[in-house]
Amino acid sequence: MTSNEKTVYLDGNVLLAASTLEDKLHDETIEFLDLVRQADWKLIIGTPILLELEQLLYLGDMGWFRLRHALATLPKYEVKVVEDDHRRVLELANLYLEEKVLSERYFANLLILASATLADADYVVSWDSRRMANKSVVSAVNRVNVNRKLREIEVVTPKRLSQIIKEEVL
Amino acid sequence: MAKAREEESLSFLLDEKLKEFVTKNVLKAKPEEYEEAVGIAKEVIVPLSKAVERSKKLVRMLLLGG
Repeated sequence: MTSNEKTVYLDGNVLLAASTLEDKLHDETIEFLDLVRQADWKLIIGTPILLELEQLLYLGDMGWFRLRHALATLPKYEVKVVEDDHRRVLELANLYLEEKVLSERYFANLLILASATLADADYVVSWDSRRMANKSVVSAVNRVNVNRKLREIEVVTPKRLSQIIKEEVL
Repeated sequence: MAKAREEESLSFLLDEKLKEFVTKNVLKAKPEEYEEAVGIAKEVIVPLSKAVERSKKLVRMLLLGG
């Protein structure tokens, strides 16, 4: 195993799938989290994910239930909450919007991409293969990042990153 | 367009809804408004997360009041 530690930023849908036993993506998500642990890589989330989780509070009993289980996933997999520079995250997300990385309907996704970039994440992991783990979205983000002298990021699904870890790390 | 596999996941669909709410709340927010929204989320979620870590029993009391 290489000692090259990577930082993996989790999207909210990964946390929710990991914490819901009956979910169709649960087993693959857990396999992915176990592989990250075996590879000794670091898992993080940023404040845009906290904004998402907070919304669960407004969804009644089901929301409380999902929130409690999602939060239980954080210590279980040693997921750390990174301290964002909120203004920079907002500014970068607005720049992505200006550059039409995604439309304003998906501004929350842009906040996550900005937060992950500024947190120096190597990978953003999301089950959303249309608006996140999508080549044209990643290219558009990285065009802005290169122009701004920020690091380039990779956005992949848990399934894809599991494959990378199995083939290249373990 | 064919349904993507993830669109059959309830967690995925719930997350899309949460992202919609976040977008509605912070799109076109001024920096100070965004900072306030993040500050509130941190004040609520971070202690709750620590409480979950410390004790499931304590969380049960917090959430269910019993």
